[in-house]
Order: sequence, then C-alpha cells, then structure tokens
Amino acid sequence: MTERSEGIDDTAPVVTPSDEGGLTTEPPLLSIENLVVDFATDDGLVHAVDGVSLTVRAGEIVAVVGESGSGKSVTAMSILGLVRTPPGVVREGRILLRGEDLRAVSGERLREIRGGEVAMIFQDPMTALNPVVTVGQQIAEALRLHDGGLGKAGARTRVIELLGKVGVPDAEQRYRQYPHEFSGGMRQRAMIAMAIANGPDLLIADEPTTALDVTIQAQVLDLLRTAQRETEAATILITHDLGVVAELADRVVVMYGGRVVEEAGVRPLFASPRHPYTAGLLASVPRADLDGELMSIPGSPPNMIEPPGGCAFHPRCPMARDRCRTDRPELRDLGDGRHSACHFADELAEGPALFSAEEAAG
Amino acid sequence: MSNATEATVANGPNGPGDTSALLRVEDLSKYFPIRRGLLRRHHGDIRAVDGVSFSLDAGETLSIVGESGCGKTTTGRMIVRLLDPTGGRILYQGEDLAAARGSRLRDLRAEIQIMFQDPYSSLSPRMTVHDIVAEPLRVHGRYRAGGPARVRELLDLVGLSAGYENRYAHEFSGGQRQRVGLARALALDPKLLVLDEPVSALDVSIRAQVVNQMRRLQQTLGLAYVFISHDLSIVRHISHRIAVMYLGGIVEIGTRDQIFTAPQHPYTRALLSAIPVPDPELRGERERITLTGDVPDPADPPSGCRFRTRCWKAREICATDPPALADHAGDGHASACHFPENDVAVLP
Repeated sequence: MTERSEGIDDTAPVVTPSDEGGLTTEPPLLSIENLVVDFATDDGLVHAVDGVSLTVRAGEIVAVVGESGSGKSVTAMSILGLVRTPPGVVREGRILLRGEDLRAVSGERLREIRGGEVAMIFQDPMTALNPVVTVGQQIAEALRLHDGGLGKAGARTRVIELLGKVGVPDAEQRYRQYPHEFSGGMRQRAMIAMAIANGPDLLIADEPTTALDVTIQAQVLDLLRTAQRETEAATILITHDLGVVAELADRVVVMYGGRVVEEAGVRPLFASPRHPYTAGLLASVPRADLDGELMSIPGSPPNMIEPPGGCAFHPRCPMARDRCRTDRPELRDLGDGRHSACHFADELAEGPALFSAEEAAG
Repeated sequence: MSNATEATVANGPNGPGDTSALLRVEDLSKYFPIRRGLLRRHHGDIRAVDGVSFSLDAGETLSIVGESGCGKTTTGRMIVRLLDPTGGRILYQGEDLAAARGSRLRDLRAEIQIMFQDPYSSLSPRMTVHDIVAEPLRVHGRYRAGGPARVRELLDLVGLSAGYENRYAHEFSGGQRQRVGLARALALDPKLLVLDEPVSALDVSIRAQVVNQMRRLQQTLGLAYVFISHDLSIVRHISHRIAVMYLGGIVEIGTRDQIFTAPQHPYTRALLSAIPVPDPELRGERERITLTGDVPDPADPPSGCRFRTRCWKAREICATDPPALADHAGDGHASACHFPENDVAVLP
C-alpha cells in the first residue's frame, strides 16, 4: 500500500484532474478518481461503488443524490477511510485531497485529517457522540487533538463559543451535559459544532437532516448554510431528499447502481435533467400543481450483487434500447459543466415527457 | 383541553347530529404514567393524546400530521385498539369500540386494519408471502372457503405477481414488502385502514408507486384511510382532510385546500413553510418561518396554549387560557388559536 502510494504521490500533481465546469482553472480541493468498493455478504459480493469519479472545488456545496443502495454513503465514507473492512474492500481508486492521496497516507496523517481538514456530520448524532462523555468535553477533545497548544480553559471557552454559534442555548450549562440530555435537533447542532471546530476545508454531511422533524430540519438546514458560509468549507451533502438539494446545493451528482449517472449545476439539473433516472426521480416528487397519480419510476433498484448488464438503469428506463442492454454508458461531458452517463442524453435535451402517469400505473 | 373538544364536536363538519360518519373520535386521550423510584410511585403522566376529536367518512382520507411526540401514532393505535384510551370514545358506525366484546369485537377488528411504517420489522421472516397474507383469513376462519384464490386476488390487487407467493419477505425490496403488508391489511375486506407512515421508509421513486396504489385501492374498494405522516408533500397529495397535531392535541383541522392555502394556526404555517421546496429557482424567495427551540416535554406541557413557547404571536392570554378548537367561519375549518391568521397564505 505504502509503496504504491509513493508512485501515486509523485504523479499526483501532473494528473491534476481537468477542471469540470469550465469555471475555474484552480485544481479541485478533493477529487475522487475511479473509486471501486465491494462488500462481502452472505449472498455474494455487493458492488457498492463501481468506478465513481467526482470533484469538489473549494467552498462549493456538492450534493450527492441517490436512493438506498446507490453507493452515495459508501463513497462518502471512503473519503476518510471509514469503510469497515471486512466486509467492505476499497479495491481501486484514488482520493486526492489537494493532491495528497488519502488512501496512501499513514494512519497518523489520516487521523490528523479527520476532524481537522475534513470533518463529517452523520445522520444519527448518537452514533458519532460518545454517550458517556459530556458534549462539551467531546468538542474540547476534538479541538485539543488538533491544537496541542490549547489549554483546558482555552478549549472550554472555545467550545462554549462554538455551541453558542450553532444555536445551542445556555451553552455554559449545556457544556456539562451528556448527549442523551440533548434533543435530536440539539445533538445535531452539537455535532455540527464539533465538525466546524477546527475550521475544516471540507465537510461531509451524510443525510444530516433525515432523522429530524420538519421544523427542526429547517433549523438545521439554516445552520448548515450559515456554517458553510462562515467557515467557507466545501461541503459534500449526501441526501435522498431533493428538497434539501434544491435548498442547499451548488452542484449535484446523481448516483444509481454504484455509479455516477449525471452531474450538473443545481438549476440546470432541476430544469432539464439529462439522464432518464434523474428525470424519473424529479417526476416522483409530489407537486402542489399536479393532482391525481404521482409519476413514478417502474420497477425496483438493481440488485448490486448481479447488476444488470449494460446500463444499470435499463430495466426501468422508458428510453431503453438494445444498445443499453449491452454497452455500459460512460459519464461523458455534455458541455456547460454537464455530464451524463446515458447513450441518449442528447434526446433528453429536447425534453420529452418520459414518465407519464400511465407508466406509473404499470 | 376539554372545552376545546366540545367546540369541535359542536361545530365540526360532522357534529353529533351527523350519523353518516364511518369513524368518530370524541375527546380521546391517552396518558402514559411515569413511575419513579424504588416503589415505582406514580410520578405524573405523559399526555400523549389529550382531548382529540375528529370524524371520518367512508371512502375518505384524513391525514394526521405532526412531529415526533405529537400523539399521531398513539391516536392511530387506539383506533385499532392496540392501545386502550385513558378517556374519550371511538365510535365506528356509531358503535363504541371499547364496548365491543367477543364475536362483535372480532368483526370490528376485521373491518379496521392497520399498516405499519417499517416494512422490515412488520413482516415475519419465517413466513412465506402466502402465509403472511393468509394469516388474517385463517384467524378469522375465512381461509377454508377459497383462501388460496383470495390470497392470489389480494396480491394481484396490490400489484404483486402471484409468483411471489412462496417466497419470504426478506427476498423483497422495501416497496414490495409494503405491498405485502397492504395485501395482508386488505385480506378481511376492511372499511377503514390506519396507515402509520406507510411510505416513510421507502425511496422516492418507490414511494410514488405505493402511494398511487393506495389511491387506486381507495377508489376501487371505497376504503377510508387514516393516514399518519410527517411528510407534508405526500399528505398534500393523498388527503381529503387534514388534522394537524401538536403535543397531544389537534391545533387545526380542515380540508386539504383549507390547510394548504389558508392555514390559520401559527404552527401549521410554520410546518408548511418548513417543507423544503424541490425547486432551486425558488431558493430564498419563500418566506420561511423558522421555529425556535424544541417541542416541550409532554410530561410537563406549557400552561394555556401548548404551542405558545415557540409561537411568535404569543401574548398573555396564551399562557393562561387554552384556546378551543373553533370553526370561525362555519366552513368546517377549525383551529385552536387565540389569534388565528385569516388571510390566504401563498405557499408553493
């Protein structure tokens, strides 16, 4: 692992991925190249992530969207080496943070990056917070881990300041409380405080509002927005909620069957999707102006032990033709910062109604 | 809270004189005792449901919406008698459910069915799909006469192929499992289905399939639904009427259009404005009411109006007088607020 990594490190600056959107020539903050992750299960090998490449530029919010089993969370977990092995195995790919391959760095360096340059926000704060340590101590610990010069008293002051910043009332008193004494929304705030404690360059938020009630979700979304603005951290937002994507993201990466199927700026993506799966996903969302049957994508997500040949979406795709059953479409550049992995992406540009209510009935 | 319920019963769309309602819930409450200490002394109550009244017609969908702990699930479970109410009555076609015994209770249980949220834990992993769907038929002695054919008919009804009959639940995706759950709930020809977050655990594309199926079944079988959900966009799609609950009580009830276009209660407004809109063009354009703080402890609810601690309109009277659920315009749209909104809100 280490030997191979050295070779990669040497080449890293040379193969800095070309800029994706034509907007800037700055190298990306994070670039994932051809990531492959498998999981061993009783039923066979699950190809959870199958050749995913994506980039995140400094300061931008990239939403990674997909349904369960699309590989979005596994992709996110791979960044910080959090895929549990076994059963998971990261087979291939490079994860470059400013050119440094995170798959090749030492354990010590990875620990330095975790919670330092890259921080994570999880769906369930109880899995991330230690139940037997007070919330204040946990955040203080995170601070002192990355700033050896910070004394106990100094850390405490910083934590109380951070808790106040994320909207935890009575921060002084809350400092001494345990996670179970916090409500779900407060815990999520505490976790965000911990994540931004060391001024990260990249925040990875995995379904950060999914477990929350709608009014609390609105609060946490506001907080994520302000936290992002203040820290100027780039953010990878993993979600299945297109409402959250529309509210927060700059750019969207859509995943299906372990692969990226579409990538675009948030507005163009919602306005005119260039992959039939994205089109179906957008059509499935109930809309106030449409009554009657909801549009839906027929069938079920693919079995990732034996994914369909060709395009993984073809069994559910209203546009599928012979070619889709045999040739796997690669993600290709459509210009204007848009990418699609559909053989017939150009036909979608004309905007045919792909998913009708009749099909939904089938 | 009791005067609040009287107001609904008197002024609601289906007042006491209305005998057409399939289901009438009157001043329903459920307290869970809190016991503390070595002697397990009664220390107080969590008022999970506290004076809830509503009615439901045959073939109608009433959604109960609200956040965790508002009492919507507890209400649903009392309707199917999985929980006994602490107070109040549940009338099914005018008959008090609590008074039913023996064979009459069996019959009522057949007519009122429930379906749960989690498609992974609500189906037995040791039973085939056939057995899962046939179980209620067997329990009610209806399997011998044409049971296997009935099971196939039910699977067909929910859009599952009969070839799935001998497979086990774990072989299915979440959406398929919910269809199996639906087939089972329909086995005894119920008139009323309590659906407790039936699609919340499903992916977006699958959710739409199941919701469409439920709507079609309602039309063909004339089913009434009590649809319990926190997902307001689905609720908007499926409901005829909506009840909004907060901390054990209904704060507003009305038709879908009344609730979505002219919400009267501040909580309803906040709830609707908090739904993320799936349209990036509208980002930042919409007025959003962000509530501060969390839902108070149901064991120690605020005095007066229970919402007042998070309400931007709260005044002195709100701390002292619990507002009654009142139908101000006489159009069946009732809200429990001293200062209800009366304009038309423009919500996307």
